[in-house]
Amino acid sequence: MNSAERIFATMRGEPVDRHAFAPILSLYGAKLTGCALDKYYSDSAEYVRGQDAVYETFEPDMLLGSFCLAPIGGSFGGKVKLYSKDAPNLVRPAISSPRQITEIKVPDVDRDPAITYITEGIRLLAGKYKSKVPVAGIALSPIDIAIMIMGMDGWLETVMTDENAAKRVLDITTPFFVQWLNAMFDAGAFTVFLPTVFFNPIFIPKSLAVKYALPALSEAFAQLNGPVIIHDTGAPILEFLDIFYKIPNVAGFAVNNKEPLELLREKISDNKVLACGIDCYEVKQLSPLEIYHRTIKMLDNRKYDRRFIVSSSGADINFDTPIENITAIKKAVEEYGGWTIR
Amino acid sequence: MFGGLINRIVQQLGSGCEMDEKDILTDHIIKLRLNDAQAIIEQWIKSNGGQSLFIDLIEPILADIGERYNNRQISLAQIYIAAKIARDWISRYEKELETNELNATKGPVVIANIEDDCHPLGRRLVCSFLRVSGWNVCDLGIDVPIKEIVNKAVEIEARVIGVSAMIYTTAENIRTLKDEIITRNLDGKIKIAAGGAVFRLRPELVAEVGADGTSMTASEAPELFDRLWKMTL
Repeated sequence: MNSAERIFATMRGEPVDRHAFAPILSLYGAKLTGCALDKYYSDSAEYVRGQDAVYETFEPDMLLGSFCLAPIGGSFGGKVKLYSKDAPNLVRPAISSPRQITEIKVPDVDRDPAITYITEGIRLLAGKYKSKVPVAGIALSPIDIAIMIMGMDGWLETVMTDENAAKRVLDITTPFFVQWLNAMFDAGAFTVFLPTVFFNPIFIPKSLAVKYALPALSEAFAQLNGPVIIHDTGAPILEFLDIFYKIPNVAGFAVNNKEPLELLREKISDNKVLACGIDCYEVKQLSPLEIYHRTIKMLDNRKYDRRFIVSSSGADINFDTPIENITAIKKAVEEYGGWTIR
Repeated sequence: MFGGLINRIVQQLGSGCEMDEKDILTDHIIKLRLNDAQAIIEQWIKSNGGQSLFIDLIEPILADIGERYNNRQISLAQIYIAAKIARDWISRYEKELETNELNATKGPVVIANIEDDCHPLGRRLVCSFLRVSGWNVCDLGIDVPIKEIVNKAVEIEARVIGVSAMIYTTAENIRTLKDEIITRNLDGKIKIAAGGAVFRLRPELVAEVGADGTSMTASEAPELFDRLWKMTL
């Protein structure tokens, strides 16, 4: 099987020669090519060169569009800071109160440089690899875009004190989200990962997640031209999974390795993809042998799971991670083979 | 900043806690009804005055909410509301409290989001909990250069520096803070309290980056700072 056949068979729950291997290696491409990150995160061609190097080095079963979301917060009016070994970050959100929402200038999905950099990267990757390696985008849900625009404090206070203001914010972020993701699907992304910051039991109680997730995300996701995968950013998600799996166009979940996979699977039913792997921090810290054994243990746990993908949990794999640590995951996946009928 | 004052007022006033209002306020916090919680506060101030608000109402609620968060019964959103109520109380009565001769201080301490970290929520919560526990807090804000943090600690004679980092990459910068402390022969004289999501998920990282302690919640930060302050030379 080639990577595309393996990934799509996994999504359909059909037999595979081995589990798919799809760690988050967006940043790592820059390490492999030696490209300065200011260029890597602004020049689609440089980003694609980095992903070419990722493919040559690890042959993952999925390539990723750029995991570089802060500049989009910059396009809304926030202040962005660049780093030498990590993706850009938002230093200051565009606004701090919903009263300022009318000051927001929504970026044009077809023209804004921070957005077209990502969609063009996906287009180039998909054109080059589509028949053999699927390409996935990475974006934010309408609610997490709200956090990007007004900061966690501002958004939390808004949803807790002024329902109408929260709705006004979502009236801006939802159409933007739909256009942005559909542009990624048009460019050739087969799915889009959505890292969730707000939907995390550490931050909010389930009642608030239900109140905002179900209506807002159901409305937004129903307008998408492709499926999304909810990514927990390494934080606990188990408690909220039953909210998400009912939302249209959710194909699966990328989860952390700290919660029991069997419970996570039980919550999302058998027909959704479950992606999990060693935490990105541990991928950097552990020895290749330990990484290999932990991956084998995880695969043993998912022995009968027909929709399981070996990924990495948390954020992007760290810039300073040794190559052999990532290769150790691949080795375990290749040696283990596919899922077994119970 | 207010610790001594609070203790003295407690001694003077006795308990006098109105359970009904405490329960109602706790319920509003748990159910994220900030406006309703603020209405209860206003009602209390009208009937009982502002200064007793903290001892009789806010302080026991903060303890209760902190314990519930430790037991994973509630989330940061509820902590945020409780801390906001405390913060508003401080802002409202700051002048009276600072000029009050009963006022006693702990510290000073320096708090900052470490260089490159731009996530203020946790830091702000910690500042609130420290201040209401009597600490004199110098809050430097987000993305603060290492040298600036140490310079400020030296300038105000802080013996504890609290630094916050949300992700692994920024947590790594705490190593540089530790190195700066060692280079200036301040090791042992200044202790580092590390906080942020990454330490909650990976407590082992605290020692790895050279910090001296962490607390799982903002409400536990005052206890950590007490402990670290006592450890200084």
